[in-house]
Amino acid sequence: MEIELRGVGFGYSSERMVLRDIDLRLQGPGLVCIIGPNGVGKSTLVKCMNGLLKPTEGEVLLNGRNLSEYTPKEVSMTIGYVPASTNDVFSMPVIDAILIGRHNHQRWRTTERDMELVRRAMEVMGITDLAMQGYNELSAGQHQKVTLARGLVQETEIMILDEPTANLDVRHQVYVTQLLRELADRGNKLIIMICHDLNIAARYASEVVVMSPPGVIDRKGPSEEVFTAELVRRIYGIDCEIVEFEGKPNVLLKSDFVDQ
Amino acid sequence: MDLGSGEVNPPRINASVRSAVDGWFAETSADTDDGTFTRYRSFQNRKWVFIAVCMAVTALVSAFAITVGAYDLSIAEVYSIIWAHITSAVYDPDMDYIVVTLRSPRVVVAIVAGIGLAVAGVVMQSTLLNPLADPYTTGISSGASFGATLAMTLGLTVASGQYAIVINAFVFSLIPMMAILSIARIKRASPTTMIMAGIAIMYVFNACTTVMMLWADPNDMDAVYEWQVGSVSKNIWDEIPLMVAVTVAGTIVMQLLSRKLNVLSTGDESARSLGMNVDQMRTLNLLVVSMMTAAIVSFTGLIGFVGLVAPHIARLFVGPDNRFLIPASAALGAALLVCADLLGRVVIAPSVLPVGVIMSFIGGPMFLWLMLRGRSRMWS
Repeated sequence: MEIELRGVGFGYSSERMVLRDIDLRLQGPGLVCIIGPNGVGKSTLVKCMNGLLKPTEGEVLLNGRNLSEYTPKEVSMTIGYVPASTNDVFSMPVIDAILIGRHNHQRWRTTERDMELVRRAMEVMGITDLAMQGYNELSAGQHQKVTLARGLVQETEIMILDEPTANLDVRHQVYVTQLLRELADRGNKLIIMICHDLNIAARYASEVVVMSPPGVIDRKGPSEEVFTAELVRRIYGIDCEIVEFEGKPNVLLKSDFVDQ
Repeated sequence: MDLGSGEVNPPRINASVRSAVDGWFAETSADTDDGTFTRYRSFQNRKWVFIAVCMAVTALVSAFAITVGAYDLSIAEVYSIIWAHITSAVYDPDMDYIVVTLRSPRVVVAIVAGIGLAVAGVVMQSTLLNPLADPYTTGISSGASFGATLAMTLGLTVASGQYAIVINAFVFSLIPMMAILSIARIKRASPTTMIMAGIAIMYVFNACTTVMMLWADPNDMDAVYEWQVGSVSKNIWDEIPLMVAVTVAGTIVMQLLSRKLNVLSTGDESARSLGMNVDQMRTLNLLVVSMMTAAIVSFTGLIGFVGLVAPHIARLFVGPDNRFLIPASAALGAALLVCADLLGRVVIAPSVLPVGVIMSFIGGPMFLWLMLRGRSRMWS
C-alpha cells in the first residue's frame, strides 16, 4: 500500500494555488499524521490522494499506478475516506449510516457479514447503544464515531481521515488515535489522518507530515525528528518547549505568539 | 524508505484499545448481540407493514370510490366486476360499462398520479439533498403550467390535434429540468444552487403564465384555471396508458437505484469517496423523475402537495432508507390522492372540490400533526 504524489499542484483558480509542487511518498503499514496551520491545504492534499480533487499539476500514483487509470470504484475499494464532520440531510439510524460504508461490497441484500462488520465497528467505537438512534440526534462527537465506523467497515487497505479527532473529548481523541495506530499496525493498513493536536500526532504517528504556507510539504519523518521548537515557531508562530515524555516529544506551548 | 523506520519507540497503547482491536480482528463472532440487531430487523419488517397498510387502504378506498354515484353498488360487487373484466368473463355489460369505463379511470389516474408524484418527490429530495425539493421547487410544474396556458390562451402549440395541450405541457415541463442540469454541468453547481435555479425558473415561468392570463380571452380562463388546480376527473382510458407506462417504468428504475440513492443522499463527497459518479447519478435521477412528473401533470394539471409531503410522511414512518421509502411513498401517495379525490366528490356533493384543494386541506394539518407528534415514537 503506497501513495505517491509527484509534483502535485492544485488550485481552485490559477491565481490561487493551494498546493505547490508536492512530492510525497507514503508507505504502509503505519499511521501518518498530517499537521499544519489552518488553510494550508491539508484537506486539499488528502482529497488529491483519492481523486476527490484532480490535481491541476503533477500526478498521483496509487500502488505504483497512476490514479487516473483507476475507475472511481476501484479507488474506493482501495482507499476509504472519512470526511470532516458531516450532518446528513435525512437522518438515518446509526446502523444504516454505517452500512453505507459497505456500499461497494453489497448487491441488493445486506448480508450477515455486512451486519457482523457493522456490529464489530460499533463495538470498537463504543457506540453499540446508539445503534437505532437517528444520526442527526447524535452529538458532534458521536457523529465522528459513526463516521469512523463507516470508514472501518469499508475494509480498505488505505484509509484517509480528515480530522477524525475533531469534536472528541481528550480521552476519546487519545482512544481514537491509539485505535487507528493499532489498526494500522495489526491490520497492515496505511492510515493517513489530518490532526491539529501536536501532542497526539507526536505520540501516535509512525510518521508526521508537516505542511506549511504556501501549500508545500515542510518536512516529513518520525515525530522524534520532526518536532522541534524551531518548527513549531516557524509553522504556527507560537513559542514552545519540547520535552520528552514517555519516550515521545511533547510540545509545551508558551503564552507568547510570535508577531507575524 | 520504510515508513516508521525512524520511529524510536513505538507508542504505548492502552489495554482497552488492544482488546477492542482484538474484537475487530477476531476470527469468530463474539455473539454478544444484546437485541440490537433483532430490533433492527423488526424495524425493517415494520416498514413493510406500513407499505402493506397503505396499499390496502388504497385498494379499499378505490373500490369504495367506484361505488359512489347514481347507480348503487357494493364494494364486493365492484371487485367482482373488475375481476370479471380482467378475466374477460363479463357477466353484466351495463355494470361493466359503469364500473370500468365510467368510474374507474379517475381512480386509476388518482392512484398513478399519487404514485408518480410521490416517487418523484422522494427522488428529488434524496438527489438534491433538500427536503423542500418537489415538482414545484424544481420548476417542472410551472413549466407545464406555462405550456398548457400557452396552448389554451394563444393556441400556440408544438403539436396539433387532440393532445395539443398535453404535449405542450409535457414539452415545457422538461425545460426547467434541462436548464437546471445544464447550469449544474457548466458551473458545477451544488444541489442547493440547483434548487435555487429551479425556484428562479419557476418565478420566470409563473410570470409568463400570469401575463398570458392577463391577455387571455375571458372565455379561455375557465380552462386555464381548472388546469391549474389539477384534477383527476376528465381522464378517459385512452389517456391513461402513457401515464401508467412512464410512472411504472420510472418507479421500477428508481427502486432498482434506491441503494445508490441512499449513498447519494449522504452528500457528494461521501458518495464520491465510495466510488459513485455523482453527476451522472444525479442527472439520471432527475431526468427519470421529471419525465414521470411531466407525464402526469400534463394530463391532470397541477396537483400540488403530494410530491412534497407524501415522502415526508412516509419518512416519519419508515425512515430515510430509499429502498423502503420509495415504495412507502408510492403507496402513501396513491392512498392520499384516492382518499382526497373521494372526499372532494362527497363533501359538498353534487359539487366537486378539486383533488388538489382537498389534498392541501387534509394533508397540511395531518402533516403538521405528525411532525409535532415527534419522530421518536415511530423510530424504535
